[in-house]
Amino acid sequence: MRDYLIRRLLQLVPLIIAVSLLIYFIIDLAPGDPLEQLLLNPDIKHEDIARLKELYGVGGPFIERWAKWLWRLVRYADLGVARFHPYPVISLIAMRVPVTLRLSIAAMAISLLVALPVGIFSARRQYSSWDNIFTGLAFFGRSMPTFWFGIMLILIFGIYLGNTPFTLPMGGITSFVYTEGIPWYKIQLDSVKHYLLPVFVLGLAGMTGWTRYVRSTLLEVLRQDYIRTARAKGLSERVVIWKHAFRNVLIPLITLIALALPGLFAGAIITERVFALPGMGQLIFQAVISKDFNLAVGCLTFLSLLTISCNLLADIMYAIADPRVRFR
Amino acid sequence: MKRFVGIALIGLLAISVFSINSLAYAQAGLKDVPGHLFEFEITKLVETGVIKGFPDGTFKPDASITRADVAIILAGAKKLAIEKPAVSPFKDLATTHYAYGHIVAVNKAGFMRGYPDRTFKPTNNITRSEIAALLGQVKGLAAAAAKITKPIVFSQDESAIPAWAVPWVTLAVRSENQYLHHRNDGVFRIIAPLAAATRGDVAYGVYQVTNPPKRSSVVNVTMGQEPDTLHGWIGTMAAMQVVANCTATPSVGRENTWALYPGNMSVIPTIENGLWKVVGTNMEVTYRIREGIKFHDGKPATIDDWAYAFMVFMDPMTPVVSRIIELKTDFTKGAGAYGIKGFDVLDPLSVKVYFKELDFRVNLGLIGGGLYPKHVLETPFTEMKKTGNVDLFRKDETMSRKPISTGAYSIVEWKPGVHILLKANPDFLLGKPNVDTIVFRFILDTTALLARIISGKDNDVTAIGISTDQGIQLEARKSTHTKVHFISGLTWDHMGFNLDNPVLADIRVRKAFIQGIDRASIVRVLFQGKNPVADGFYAPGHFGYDAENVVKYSYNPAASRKLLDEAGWIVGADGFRYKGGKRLTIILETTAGNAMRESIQSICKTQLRDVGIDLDISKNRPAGAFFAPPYFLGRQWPDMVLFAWLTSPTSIGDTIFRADSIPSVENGYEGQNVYGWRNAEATELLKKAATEMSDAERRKLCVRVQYLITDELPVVPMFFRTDVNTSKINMASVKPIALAGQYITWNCYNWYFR
Repeated sequence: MRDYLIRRLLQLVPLIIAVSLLIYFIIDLAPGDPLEQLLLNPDIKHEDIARLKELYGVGGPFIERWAKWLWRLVRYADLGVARFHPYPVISLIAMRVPVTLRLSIAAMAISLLVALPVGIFSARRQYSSWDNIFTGLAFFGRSMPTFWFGIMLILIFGIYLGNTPFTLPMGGITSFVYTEGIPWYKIQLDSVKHYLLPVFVLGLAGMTGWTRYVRSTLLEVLRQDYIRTARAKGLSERVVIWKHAFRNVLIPLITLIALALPGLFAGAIITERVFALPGMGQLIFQAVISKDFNLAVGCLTFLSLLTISCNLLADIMYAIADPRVRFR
Repeated sequence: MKRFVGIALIGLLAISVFSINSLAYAQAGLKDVPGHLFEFEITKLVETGVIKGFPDGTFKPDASITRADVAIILAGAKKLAIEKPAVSPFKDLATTHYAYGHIVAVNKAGFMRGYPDRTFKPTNNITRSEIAALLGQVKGLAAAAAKITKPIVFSQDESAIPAWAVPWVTLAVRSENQYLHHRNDGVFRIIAPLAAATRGDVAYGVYQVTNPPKRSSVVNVTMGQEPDTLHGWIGTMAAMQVVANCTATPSVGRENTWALYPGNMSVIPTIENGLWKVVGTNMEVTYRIREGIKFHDGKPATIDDWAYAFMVFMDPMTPVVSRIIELKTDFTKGAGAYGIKGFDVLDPLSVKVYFKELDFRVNLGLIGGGLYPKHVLETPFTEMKKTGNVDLFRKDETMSRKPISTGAYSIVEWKPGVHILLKANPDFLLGKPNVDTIVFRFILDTTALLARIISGKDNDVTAIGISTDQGIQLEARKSTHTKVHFISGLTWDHMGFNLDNPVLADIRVRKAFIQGIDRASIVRVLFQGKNPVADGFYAPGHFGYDAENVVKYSYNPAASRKLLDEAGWIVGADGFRYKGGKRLTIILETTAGNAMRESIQSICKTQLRDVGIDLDISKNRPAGAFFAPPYFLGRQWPDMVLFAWLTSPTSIGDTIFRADSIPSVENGYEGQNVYGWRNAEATELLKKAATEMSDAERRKLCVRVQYLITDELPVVPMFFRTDVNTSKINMASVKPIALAGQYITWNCYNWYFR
């Protein structure tokens, strides 16, 4: 187990290098630099752009820039300074991750809490009218674009219910400008109110997928011989489902959830944008479209590191859930 | 039957009562007031019965006012008891005079005491200084006035204020008073202290004194953008400027009418006031700042701060965006300071700067970094020089996140992605602003931004992010709480021809093109006419615009067809034109994903089909690729491009239209004449205009350039883009402007809620 872990961790190093190189290369493929758009102002000269590019270290062969970047990361543990935010990349990530985590963990928790019972319910009553209703709802939720659904919720809870007690904030993460003198529970309550709509939007999108997944996996498990055996033994349906079938549903589910973990950090671009949440999704999106190299590469490398670590975590969890798996 | 007649009668009666009422209401409004600068104040005074206007239904707001009429308005607004004693207190005032009772009342109240020789001179006019003093006394500001010795009016003619009136005029424009409105003399913002007050001036002043600005706790400003930095030297985003308008007093500002005013500077240098001397091709400009300016941390601001900041600004390592004026400094002259020359510090408040080249824009503010606190700049700059780390300017808190300045508001905090919080600066030159806190929020999604404006919750002002068509939608909703402002700007959308292309080098084809598209209908369909069709490069309002000296083109397909026939492009079987077997296909490119520009493209395509031109609109590129220098500046686009230049009231377009400003690989892409327009006369005129110091002469040169542009058509001018802002209906003193560097927040210190 220990050897296995060390080996996997060592594999991370070349992987990160390759991933950062790839990210650098892909972003570099898009032509143009935001500085060049300054030229639309006739008072800014081309030599100004050239001088700024030199000062900020943009332009030039990308291998060279990437090598500098990597050296700084290895030598000083420094991801550099973002070009379009007045902060070092590290502190930006540190500021954004909590917002994103709050949003995505809550959304995932909600979707799993709903998806598990609904999925099991649907599977047990396959092709019943309830199953059809849930399947229909799932497809409905799945196909609803988040940006539209989000705006509709803003419209309903922000504008139509604007003057009623059911009103909810239209975006942002807080209503308080100054927090001094306000009791903590009020701040938390306000924060919860701000997260309700985005969590719902994001949760619904995830919920439908998980429901379908739990349903089909359980159906598959229920067709297995050992379930038939269990039933033949005369076990109660409750024991068959929860003790024999459900544990086997969990194995692939755990893998999927673990794989979804880095996604929690990646944020949800559209949901964050619509609800003006300062999370990772918006940060990465902005960084990529504005060609903020340091920031984009920093964030994406951070995410790939998480992805790889979560894969590892999935493998470990898998072994715990399934005693047949052994490390080599 | 009887009942029916009864109901009908009641109905008729009701209708007639309502119609009489509405008629009476229509008559109550004075016909020359709507659209006037003081419409709100005059209307309020009419509603409360203070003002009745002339029998012909006018108010004549721009006519001068007599002392008798001032007495009437004042007595009415202050609700003074009107008495008519049998003996007149003034020699020249008959008891039968139409304003007798009012004059007696204001005299008794101590507002207008008359002259020592016991006269009142009721038919005399009253100057604006006198109005300021009179209203100041009405407001009980005598004690405050006694403490003021220097004028701070943000007007170019402050030195013309008579000494006795200095405190009164200064008080009259302060944020908490605001009862004297500035004027625009065509170039500068003035207070016109000795000019006769108009009836409108008095109505405004009296209304403002009886309904003074209120204090309130917060204004919420929403932007569709978050600044990348708050350091003005290195940032370029509009969002940064919107914030900076609140936090930094400009040394020279531009108000909503485009008039210039001295902010931190006490007067704008001009040739006339002697602070700007031209000697051959050299210039000496004396910049003078006001006494008593304090930075947000309480430390006084002097020219020494400027000198240090100038040195840092010019340092090659400092990543400033542009030094276009600064590089014209003659660094061989003057004693200078901090190891840099080019200027002489005359005293702690003034500096004389030497220039080796002529430029008519040197008086638009302190050159270099402006009044930047030396004590803040020293540490990061020394650190940067020592470590060679340019990033310090970007990540240092005092530099980019919480800059210290001299403006009406100081920065409390910037929570990235959440808000920027400002608090009122009690030391601000015009007094503490009326609103304690300004909160900027960033809503990047435009639909979410619109929803916020519609709901009105936590949103008092919207600064950036609403497009013209969204503004039209918002206006159509007739919100009960929010007003939509359409502000004409100087973003010039146009199509440029590639004049190296032999097909387009033929002026007949270009003229056929412009007459083959219906620009008026394009702006009507897309923007309901809110974005005006551009005749040429200079916008109406710019000094280079002269409606008489522009070649104007309108939609004329017949003329267009004729020109194409003459040019040898003959209509083929498919309706398109051909010459030598080649179809007249013009590729019009623009930035992909820009819905407005793509709509323009498709409308033009349909319209040009009628005259036989095949417009190819399938070659759009994303902005990054479109504006990449080798492609855009290197003119790798074959036919035409649709884009916009961001210009300012001082742009003369010399880098855009001079023949020696054609960018190419050889000159390192210098210049912005991307069309390849080679017109010797325009080139000479623009060269002269750039160094012409006389406004009148420069205007003549530019007017001629505008004529040449519209005559030869290197471009198809489309329209000047309108900026859309919103503000709450109950907010007063919101005066939107949209020029690079000047935004709706420029006078946030005057804002208040009624």
